[in-house]
Amino acid sequence: MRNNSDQLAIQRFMQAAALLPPRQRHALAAFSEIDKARAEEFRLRMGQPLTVLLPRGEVPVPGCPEPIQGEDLSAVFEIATQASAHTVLDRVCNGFITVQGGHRIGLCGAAVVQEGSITNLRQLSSLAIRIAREISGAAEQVLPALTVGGGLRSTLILSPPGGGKTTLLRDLIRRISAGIGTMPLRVGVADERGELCALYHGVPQMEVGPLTDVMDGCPKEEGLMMLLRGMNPQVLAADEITAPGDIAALETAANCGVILLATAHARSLEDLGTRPLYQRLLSLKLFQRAVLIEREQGIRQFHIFSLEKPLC
Amino acid sequence: MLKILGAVLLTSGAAAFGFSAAGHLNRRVNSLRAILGALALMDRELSFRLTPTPELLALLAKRAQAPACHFFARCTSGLDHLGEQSLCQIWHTALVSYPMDLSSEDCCTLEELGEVLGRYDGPGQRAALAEIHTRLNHSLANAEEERGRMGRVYGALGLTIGSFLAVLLL
Repeated sequence: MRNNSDQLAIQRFMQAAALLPPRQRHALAAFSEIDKARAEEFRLRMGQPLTVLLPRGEVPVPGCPEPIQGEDLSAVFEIATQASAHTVLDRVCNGFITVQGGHRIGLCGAAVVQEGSITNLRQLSSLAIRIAREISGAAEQVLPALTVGGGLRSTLILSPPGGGKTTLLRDLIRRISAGIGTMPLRVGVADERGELCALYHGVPQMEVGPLTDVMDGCPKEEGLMMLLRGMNPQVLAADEITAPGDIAALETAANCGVILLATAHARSLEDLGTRPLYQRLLSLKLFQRAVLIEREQGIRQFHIFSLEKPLC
Repeated sequence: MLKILGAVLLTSGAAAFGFSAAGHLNRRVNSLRAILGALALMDRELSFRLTPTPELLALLAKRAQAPACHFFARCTSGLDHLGEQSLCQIWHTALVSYPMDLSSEDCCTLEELGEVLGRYDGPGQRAALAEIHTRLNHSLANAEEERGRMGRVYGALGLTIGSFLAVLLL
């Protein structure tokens, strides 16, 4: 008997498999239910058979030994973009596109470079379709420590790459927007890379709550300012603060009384403090809380700090 | 009596044939005008909104003039098969099944758009649209000129041939 999360994972697997041409799609449909629920990615490499990334590693797909051809990769791109390459070229330059369902397609190939910048990929050579996952409840144990007297505090989430910052931030947004564990607040999300909400045709493909407004695909600095000016947010959220402009926009928002939620790559608060960009961020005291995500024996642990004194 | 009935049928049949040929010229002009209007709308959408292809085709199915709207409606319903067929094939199928009284040359020109649509960036598609617009505009000028020149001729010719055959019969 499969549980709900397995059923959801299988649905997402089939949704992601629908991005593939018929031959590969049908082969994936015959995959075992257990592997469907555990699959993380589909990998398509020119000249190699289709593989699926499972927790035990990459495995070939039974019944699909034929090597991937160029037209297979082009077909995936056409299906994924709904024959609308012009709408995703800016994302292609970043190396990935987000499609319906929140699945992310990593792109690899021969780059077209104009005036020193990548403008397109001339010939695709590999695709990695990452099956979207949502971990509802990631913020359940964290949120109470981010509130004081029922009021949410501005929070910076820290972890090394792949540590789960985006997942935690998304679940925080969902809970705050839906009023789970706190009073419901209007949340504005500057989703520059489409990873937080995976907006598709205006609809967030991830669960981000009913009071959430999403500015998708534009640089965080501009996105934050547009949200601030136009949507009257009570909370502003942005993933991966990486530029002085992002910090300037956060500072403006904080001065307007908006609560901030953001993430940054760092292994610890000390690590954060060694980098000039984040030294400025810390000196501005825009955040009252920091959440450090660490993996201990394969299990995610959340350490919450007041940025004046440690809470735990 | 039978001879008179036959003569009337011959005359009217030949005349109908002539008027049908003239009507075809008229329909081609109308089709080209409708398509040119749709292409202009397509250009504006790509220019200002970078509208995704399914939305663009659905918009044209709704807002373009007949018969172009019916062609775009076929393209829109064909998108259900995207994955089994490329957009280029879907466009081709719609054009073959609903040629809108266009000449084979017009169809070839329009078919080229199917090879560009959704494959390139906005400016690239708009450049192709501009070129196709120019060529179809030229076709429209020719079609209008041909309609003015030949439209009445076909009708009169049909009527004349019918009358001539009737005289021969009688």
